[in-house]
Amino acid sequence: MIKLLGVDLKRLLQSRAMLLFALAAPIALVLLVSLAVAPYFYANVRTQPFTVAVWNEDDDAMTQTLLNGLVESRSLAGLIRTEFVDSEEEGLAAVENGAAAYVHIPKGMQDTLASGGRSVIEYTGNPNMPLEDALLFETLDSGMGLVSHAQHAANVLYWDSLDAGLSQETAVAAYNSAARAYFSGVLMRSALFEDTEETSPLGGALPVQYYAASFLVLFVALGGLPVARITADDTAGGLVHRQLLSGHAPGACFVSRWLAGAALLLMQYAVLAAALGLMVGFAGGLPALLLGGVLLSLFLSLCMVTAGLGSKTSATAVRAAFLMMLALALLGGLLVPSAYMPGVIREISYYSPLSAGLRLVIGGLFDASAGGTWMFAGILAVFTAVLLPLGIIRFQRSVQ
Amino acid sequence: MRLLFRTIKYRLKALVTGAHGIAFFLLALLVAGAPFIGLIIPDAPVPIGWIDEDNTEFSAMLLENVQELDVVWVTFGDRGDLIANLQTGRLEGVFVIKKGFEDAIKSGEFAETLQLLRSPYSTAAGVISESVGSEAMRLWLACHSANSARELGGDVLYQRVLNDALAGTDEPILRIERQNAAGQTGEVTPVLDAAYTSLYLLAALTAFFMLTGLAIKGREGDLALRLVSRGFSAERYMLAAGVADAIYLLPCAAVPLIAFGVAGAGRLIAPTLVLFLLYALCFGGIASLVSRLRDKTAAVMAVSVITIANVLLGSMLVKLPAAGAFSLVTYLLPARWLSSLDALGIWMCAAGLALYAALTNALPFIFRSRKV
Repeated sequence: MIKLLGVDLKRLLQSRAMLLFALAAPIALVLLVSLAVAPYFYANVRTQPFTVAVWNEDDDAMTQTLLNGLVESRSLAGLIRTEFVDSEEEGLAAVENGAAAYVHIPKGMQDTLASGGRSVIEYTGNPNMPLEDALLFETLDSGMGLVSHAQHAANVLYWDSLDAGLSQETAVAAYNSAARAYFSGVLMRSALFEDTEETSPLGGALPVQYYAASFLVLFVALGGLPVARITADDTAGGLVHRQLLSGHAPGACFVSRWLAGAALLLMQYAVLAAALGLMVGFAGGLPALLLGGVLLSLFLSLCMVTAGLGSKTSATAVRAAFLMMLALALLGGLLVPSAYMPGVIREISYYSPLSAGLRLVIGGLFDASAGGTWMFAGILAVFTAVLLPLGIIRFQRSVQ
Repeated sequence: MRLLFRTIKYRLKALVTGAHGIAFFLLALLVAGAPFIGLIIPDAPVPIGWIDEDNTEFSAMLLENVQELDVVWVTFGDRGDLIANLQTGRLEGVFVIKKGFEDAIKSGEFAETLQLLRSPYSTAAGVISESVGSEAMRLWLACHSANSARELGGDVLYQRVLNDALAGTDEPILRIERQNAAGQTGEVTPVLDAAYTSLYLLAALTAFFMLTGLAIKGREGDLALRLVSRGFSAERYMLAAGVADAIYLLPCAAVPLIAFGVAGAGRLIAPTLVLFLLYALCFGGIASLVSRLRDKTAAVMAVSVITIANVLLGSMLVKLPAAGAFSLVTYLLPARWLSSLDALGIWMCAAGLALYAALTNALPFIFRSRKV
């Protein structure tokens, strides 16, 4: 079997073009995406700030204070430049000329709010800058709810004070004092949490470690597609029969393909893990990293060989393998985090093989103290152990 | 030319009558319809843990408000158990209400009164900290107003202001509304959002189907010899097959297009249909180019890399910034043109994709080998 293993491994590794696609291309892709996207998500990586045009028709000092505070806040500082304009035409022209958005604060907004009315701030995004537009709008939109509460609290103080018989002057003074305190408080709301680790200035963004680990598992999974193709070709082309005729047992033929594929995947895993660790910063545990790599490679290779056995042509095998990986990736929370899945699916996802692989990679690369290593390793091992005999039986039937 | 049309016809027939073709078509419809399932199934709350070290009226009030949020599902238990669940990824976060929370809020302070413990597997910590933090800030706001009221009008006014502030409002007092250009309201409804997602998922699947159909299978065996014996080159076969594959998948686009209509964006139907067809034709050409790789293993890897690059860098499922050279480079991918309909308009996108399709389908003819 050792000889068979060597032959199968050589077949997979002999192509320089394949190695280029398997190793260099994923690193290049991840580098491109991270360089483009990271400056907008991660506080310690900045790019050129983008401009927001603001037409503030409300001459109330409170509005100006709020605007200044928002621009200088931790959420947006350094990320945006504010360009004040004097009309809607100028604002829209600024968007045409590259501003990420145009915001219009209506005349008399503070007066309307203070008198118990409602007000709407109009926002026009730049369709040519979808990422900047989306980030900015989400930040402003999420802040509006809290600003509404703050305004309500100030209004209640004012109106209830008047109802209690206090003078207009007293009520106004209390309102102004409260409003100033509220708006500065709202902007400092991140101080609510002790020792909050800053991950994103704009809130709601996923940790970079999650993205990096997802990419790693996804690229390794897809890097096994050649294994499916070769398996399908071997079965159709009679190579397997020749190997059997030369005295190798069916189980040995199957296991040698499986292990050769696992070795290829482990090699990809090692290279991509090293690259991502350098890009994001390695702070993980070597045991989890090694365990994750070995078990993930074994499981994925087994899936690929099984997909190849079940297909009559190489094109069908590749499609079947790709779709299988896509389904496992979706279920495992690689594309959509499991936190956002419906309850039952989240439970199933937790015990799915790629979810276990993802967590092993996160712990292995980024957090040496992450828990559940043996549990996740066990999940992968169980899936492999169940699939292996089924694969061998399928292989034996296909060669009979 | 007659052979070309015949090839298109017979390939189309094989796809629509064969088991694999029917199965993939149904799969494409399922993928296109998947985003709309999310409209029916309500969002599941994110599981969090709760440790109350303060055990006061205000900490209980905060808990009550947080439990009413749709976005989180609060679990309780021993600190050790909660931390263990956090460390294994069963919980997205554990909130600790620190001792002295009520006293701090009542005295007008809020800094460092809460703690959020996160595991390395947390992916929703930002969302839940915003939600819980907002509820804590509401308490602080109400207390601050009530404290000011007490100074002015005593305990009676204090209680009244506190109750009224905590009661909140039915509608937000201040909100931000997205407009499109020139003051038109551009409401992005969930249906419209799902329609775009459906289109992009279908586009990703189309790319993969076109690539795996031709790039891997295209020049197998004695196909080239048999084609040449009929005076029909392998490149022309690839072109015909690419056209047939594109036509075969076109009906699947009905799912997002109908959704555009339902969402009130009927103006997008015809342009999107045209762009989708051009997009598919682009990948027919790309598949023909990839099929020239003699090493089929390398061809398979190229297929997966191109598919992933198309999805990641095409600004479809993941939005990308518009700045600079990076943005220009992404227009090398067909998906970028498809996702830029709003930004560039139909004519520019159609011209871009048409040029792309013409180029990718012409290149195999330009570089074709005369030998068989």
